[in-house]
Amino acid sequence: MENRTTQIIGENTFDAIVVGSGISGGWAAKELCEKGLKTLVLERGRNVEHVKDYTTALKHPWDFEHHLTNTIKDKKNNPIQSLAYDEATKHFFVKDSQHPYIQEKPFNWIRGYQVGGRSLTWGRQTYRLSDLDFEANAKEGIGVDWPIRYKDIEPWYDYVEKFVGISGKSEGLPHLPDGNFLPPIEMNCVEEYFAKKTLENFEDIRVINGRVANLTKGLNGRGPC
Amino acid sequence: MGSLVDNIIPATADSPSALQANVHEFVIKMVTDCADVKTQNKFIEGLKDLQEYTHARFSMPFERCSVTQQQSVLKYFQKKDEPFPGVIGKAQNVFFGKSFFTTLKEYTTIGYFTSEIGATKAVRYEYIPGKYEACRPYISGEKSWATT
Repeated sequence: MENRTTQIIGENTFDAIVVGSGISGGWAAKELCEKGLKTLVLERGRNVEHVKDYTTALKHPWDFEHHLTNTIKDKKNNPIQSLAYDEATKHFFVKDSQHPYIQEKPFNWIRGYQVGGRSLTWGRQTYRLSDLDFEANAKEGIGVDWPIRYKDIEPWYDYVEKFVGISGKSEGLPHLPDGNFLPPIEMNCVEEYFAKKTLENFEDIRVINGRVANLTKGLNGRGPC
Repeated sequence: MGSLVDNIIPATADSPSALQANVHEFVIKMVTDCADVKTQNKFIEGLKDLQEYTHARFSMPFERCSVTQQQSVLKYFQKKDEPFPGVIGKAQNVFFGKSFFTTLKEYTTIGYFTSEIGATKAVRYEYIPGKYEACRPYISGEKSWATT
């Protein structure tokens, strides 16, 4: 009896427990596991198996009843989430009726409860914060000052970007720090012209390539998009 | 509805018409499920107006008119239903619903170019796009790309 109890306790004892499997929890779990810690991940939502559960990924627009447009009824039932989904992605978002919340000021709280959380529906745009962001609220006397500054988080940006793969272009802008970029997704000629004319006419406005988690060349065994 | 959508997107030498792509069914579905109530009402009223107007001018229903007659009817409604330009037009659509002709043309074009026939025959559709090319020279007569 005692042996069995000890065994059960052993099986249910972890070095680390991660609550939530979204982009933060998922990464934390990856780090902990790679460091050899016995890790438990708790996720409230359903399991999503990579590739197999991407049920709409290979469909054509004409395979959807309204060719991807949300219906009026759907928008009424899910006034917040429907701002972010369409017929192809709806199954990765919560139902507003099941997850109500109080909006003291307007706030669109887009949520997805499944393994991977919102990393499945994230738009891939990836920008570093700078000290302009870390100090903004303190300068205006709002809330509590961030306990960190850009220099504290910079090596972690480097670390994560090297794994994820972010395409973009270094610009040397202090308020939008450069990262470890893969080659940028090129601008088309209209965008290029717009960027050039903007630079000529406005001293403080820049049009730059998006910084995005789309692989422009292979990385860590994953092929380019 | 078939003759309406076919006047907006008729067949060409190498692309079938909106009716052949079943766009008339799509328009009805969209008006029923996706349009707001004001736009729905304007659409139904617009259909009635169209038949009354056609009857007054040609003494027969729209679907039995010649293409030239149908075109002249639609041109009348296009002009009549044209929203004001710019912001006022947008406000007009929000407060009063979109006009009959705007809805007809909008859902016909959306339905056609997202249909299998429209996307693959009238424009070019790449099921799984391979490589992103920012710019390439345009060859005269080359078809445009399906956007989705």
